Amino acid sequence: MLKDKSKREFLKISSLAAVASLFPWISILAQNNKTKSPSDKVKLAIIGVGSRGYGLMANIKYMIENDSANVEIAAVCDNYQPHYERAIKDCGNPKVKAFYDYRNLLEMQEIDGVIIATPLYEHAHIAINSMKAGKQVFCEKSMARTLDDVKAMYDTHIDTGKILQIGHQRLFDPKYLEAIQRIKKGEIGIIGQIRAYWHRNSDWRRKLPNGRPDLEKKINWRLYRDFSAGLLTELGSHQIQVANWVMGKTPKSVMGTGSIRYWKDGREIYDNVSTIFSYNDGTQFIWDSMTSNRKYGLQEQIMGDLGTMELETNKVFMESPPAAPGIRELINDIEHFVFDNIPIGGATWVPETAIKYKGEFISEKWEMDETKLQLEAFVEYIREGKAPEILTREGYNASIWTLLAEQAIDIGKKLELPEKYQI
Amino acid sequence: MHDIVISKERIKIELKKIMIFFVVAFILNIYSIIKYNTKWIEIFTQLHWVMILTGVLYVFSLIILGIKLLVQFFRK
Repeated sequence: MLKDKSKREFLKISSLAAVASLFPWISILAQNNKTKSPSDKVKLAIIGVGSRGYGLMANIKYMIENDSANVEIAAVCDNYQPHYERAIKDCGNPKVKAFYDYRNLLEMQEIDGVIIATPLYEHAHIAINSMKAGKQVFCEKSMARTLDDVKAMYDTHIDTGKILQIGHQRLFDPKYLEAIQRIKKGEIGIIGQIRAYWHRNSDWRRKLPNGRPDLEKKINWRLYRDFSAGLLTELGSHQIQVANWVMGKTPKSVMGTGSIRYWKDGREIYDNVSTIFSYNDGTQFIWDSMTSNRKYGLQEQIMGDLGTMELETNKVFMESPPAAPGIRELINDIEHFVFDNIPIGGATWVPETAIKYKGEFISEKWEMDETKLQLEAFVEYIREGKAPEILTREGYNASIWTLLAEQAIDIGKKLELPEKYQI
Repeated sequence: MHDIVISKERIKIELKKIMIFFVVAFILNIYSIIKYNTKWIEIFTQLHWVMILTGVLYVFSLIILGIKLLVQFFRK
């Protein structure tokens, strides 16, 4: 019996017929033909227990404590001593095995699946070796640092038949699932433009231990080009995935520009990026990110001729908002008649400023932790012995187009995807 | 301090006034449904606005009554 009410509700939704056709990775969770019995404990290993890996570990601990999945953290691995020690202490399993080198961890036959949350540049070889060692893999986004590494990961997944799930948690977010369902039904009409942005006002730096400047690139790997494409891979890949998901296809081309405008502190990655992805039907996906202003925060805006959806804030705004009740309109008209000023002079045109309309909620069902849901799904897929292919493809396409955007910015040209990376 | 006694007659008059204002607000709701071409179900779903409007009209009538009494007081 599941103690976790939200999981039970989620499974109820996942069994609906409408969900099955649109979101096979959700509906599969409600099926019951698992190769491993639910009473068998799924043994997981976490490779990389820094900030993200530690967060994932906390989610798995929550799952164990609330009986939402029969799972155990059997091993942890990190080559950074403080993270290594913290993981042993906090993983909730006194018998956990700990490693500095993931290759030794892969020799543990009892491990069913590995969760990879290392810095980006290490994803590819760890994921490839894990799949070759017979482990099912959950890898944090983005997939890898180079296009070739992303393709190599995908090819290994195909060759070995092992699960390669990429950490795009929005694929498990109930409000996104409902939004996509409604978009596919045509509720907001023909989509002409998708806009997404991720704005922060911080230097994105982690503090170095006292007297250890040599650890700069190990700790702040996101800021250096050998290890990361910065805002594109660490933030943008999520939103590129959402755009591709909404469109049901990948872009035809990408162009963009980037600069180090504000944080001139030795970093190599851009702190200010703008890109445009074009789809073959003429839809444009405009994405930008900056780290010196956070007024607009984080958003994905899906703009159709009948309405707009803002996914992060769970809102839909129809182009023709539903009429107010008649009596409210009458009261408004009386108010305007009594209190409005009579304009004398002024502008001879009405400026096309944003429409002041608060919109409706897309989904009013619940607030769920989509990161936990995607990990619960990973455990279910391990029991199943496979995961829906679309999950890997979503991750692949998001990673490939993220890295292609980086190239387009670097060489200042509009780029299309080379044939060898098409799947 | 004297007790304030509200006569039966006075209560009847005030209740009648409230009834009249309720009917007026109800008719206004019907008028606005026709004028703005909205749904007839608003006769029931917007009853809270009809109540509010009834209250506003009643308060308005009390203000007018107060002003009338003040004028009479100063004319004496």
